[in-house]
Amino acid sequence: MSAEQGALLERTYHHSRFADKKRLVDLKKMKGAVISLAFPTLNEEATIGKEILVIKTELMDRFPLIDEIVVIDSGSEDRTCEIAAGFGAQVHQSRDILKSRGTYRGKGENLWKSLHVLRGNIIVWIDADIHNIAPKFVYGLVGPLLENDGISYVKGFYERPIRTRTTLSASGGGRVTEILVRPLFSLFYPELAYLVQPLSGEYAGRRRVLEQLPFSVGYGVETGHLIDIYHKFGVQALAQVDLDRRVHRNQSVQSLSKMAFGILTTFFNRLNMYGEDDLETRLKEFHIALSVQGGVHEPVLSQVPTLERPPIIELEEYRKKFHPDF
Amino acid sequence: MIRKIISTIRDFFAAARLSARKKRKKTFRGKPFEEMYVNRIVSDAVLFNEIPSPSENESLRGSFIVRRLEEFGITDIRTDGMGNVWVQFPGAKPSDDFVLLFAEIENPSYSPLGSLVRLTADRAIGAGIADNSIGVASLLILAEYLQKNSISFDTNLVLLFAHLASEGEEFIGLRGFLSEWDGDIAFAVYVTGMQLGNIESHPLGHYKLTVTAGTGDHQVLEKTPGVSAVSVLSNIAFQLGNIQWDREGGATLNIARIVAGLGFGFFPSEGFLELEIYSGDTNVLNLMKKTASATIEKIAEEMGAKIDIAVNSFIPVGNPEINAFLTDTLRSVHEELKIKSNAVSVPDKTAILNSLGVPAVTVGMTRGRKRLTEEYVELEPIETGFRQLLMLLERSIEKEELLRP
Repeated sequence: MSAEQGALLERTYHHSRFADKKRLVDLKKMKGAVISLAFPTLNEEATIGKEILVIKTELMDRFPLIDEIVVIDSGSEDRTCEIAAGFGAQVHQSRDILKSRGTYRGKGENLWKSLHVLRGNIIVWIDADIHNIAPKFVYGLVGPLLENDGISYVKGFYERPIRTRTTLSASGGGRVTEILVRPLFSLFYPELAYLVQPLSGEYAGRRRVLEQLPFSVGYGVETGHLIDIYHKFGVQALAQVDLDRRVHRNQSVQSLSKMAFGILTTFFNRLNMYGEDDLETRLKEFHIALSVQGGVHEPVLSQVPTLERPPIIELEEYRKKFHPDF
Repeated sequence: MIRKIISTIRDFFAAARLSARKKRKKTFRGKPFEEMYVNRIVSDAVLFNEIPSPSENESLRGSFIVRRLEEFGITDIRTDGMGNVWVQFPGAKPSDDFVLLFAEIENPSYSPLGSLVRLTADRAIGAGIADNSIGVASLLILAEYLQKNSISFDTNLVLLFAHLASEGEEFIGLRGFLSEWDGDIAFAVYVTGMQLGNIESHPLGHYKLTVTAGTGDHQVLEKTPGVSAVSVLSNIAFQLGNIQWDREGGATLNIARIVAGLGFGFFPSEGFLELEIYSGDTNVLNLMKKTASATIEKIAEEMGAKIDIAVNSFIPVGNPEINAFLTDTLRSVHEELKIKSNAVSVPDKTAILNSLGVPAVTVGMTRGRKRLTEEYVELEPIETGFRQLLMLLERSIEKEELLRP
């Protein structure tokens, strides 16, 4: 390992370093930070209420670290939106934001659109399916940004036990990271391989950086961010925080396969974009799985969203709202 | 489909109650009582519930409580070697008397998955949430409310986050605290989760016993296999069931569970039986325990089995006479807040204080249920439960002063 490659390890923290919430609030005031928290949701009624209540009570009411909590929903068919609003979040439908730009179903789409409705100059994104939410998930991510002006993007990492209906087993999550993303980063971007969980759904960043990043509307959003930040701002803009443990639904292998497809598409697009590899063949559009019907294998083709949204700062309506002087 | 209809109806009434609640004026002594305090009770109960239990002297849970109290700006936080944490709020009038409010910090039903709380629009669901976590959170928020609003009562208050540490016949942690306490406890209030509206009219005492039986080991297909643990325990259950206990007087013996053997193919040479004894009379309770134990030992001797009788827990019979001014006050508070009062007669941990001559009452903060597969509390009544606690404190302190000789 070269000193440069391992630099990210020097910006690897434990959440307990930022547990003095009063200190963070004071830092926030001193720096004039406005901090927004957004949850991208699709049918998360089982967990969203608790996530909002715990974070709002601790980090808005008791310690005013967060200025707003917003849910960006992809058309949930359960009671996600009603519960979220009941516990005090502002709820937006993704399709109603930037209507003229159309709408796509995917987490990345919701994150991109959230930039248009959130007020903050620090943005925090937390997945909505966490069963053991705690304030550390937010203050752990915000802490490095408030302490160190050189850091622009903070990823959470954690132990990920596999949850069944009745038990929690030892760590078994992070399969796509270890089997796909870490080998790819090791091959092409070794500095990024020092991220413990590059695909974690909990991260925070400065608006002035986020608004310059393209967003994959689907599974590749985190991978795209990291490679873009690496190229545009350098790995020194990154930090990561240990959040101990995250309990959430684990996905089936079939779902992970589609996720890997989306990530690979984004990855190869980035290699191409930055001239790091010339692909002489056009990437195909469909993820192909096989199912067995009556003893016969049948192909199942899925179109996995891989469209890229441009950096939001390129949108006129965004510039009018957030950079009216330009 | 039916579940969806029931859920929709339930939500309609919850929304109506919420709307009515928001319209009611909310103050205590002229200070606004804001909804955020209720949210803090729920949020803290959720976070507390998910802390593993037990840990040594419940230190993990104790640390959470201490940190919280420090965040409220409370500096004089006391702990002892038994896992108890407490704070004092001086009364407006100088006195050596204290009013003790306590909540239990253990979670006997904790599991890493089961204790992860799930919140719906109107319930909090998770193992331990009803029993202890809501009680602890309510006491924490009471501390916050008193501290932030500079509210004091005439008498000194002690808020005790108690590690009851039930072991056999003793609640070691609580008794340890009480034995070391320097000062007179005027009365006590046990803050718990799910018994909003319940008023102990005649607190029963109980013993919970585990009877372990062992016989000689044999093979299933032996020609003369001998006495098994199943036979011994069944015989015990049968004989105890035949004794005519004074049910009219509230005396009850219940065989709660019998477990013996390893299953098919194995001779059941070991097993245990759990039984519980209830009575509203101390002499009857002790006589029942003595009789049951003697019967069990006699059967074991006759059948050639080894027997061990362990006391899992003991709660003494309560004293409704010394509690009367508290229960009367609670009843009037319920009437004013339109809480449906239910007179109940069950074992109550406040009887431990009664046995030391201290009047005590249990106050439930909300409604809920504890079943084998699910434990939950309702969110909407928590605000009323908290106001009930404040009003009970104020009026009980006034009444106690009047009754003092």
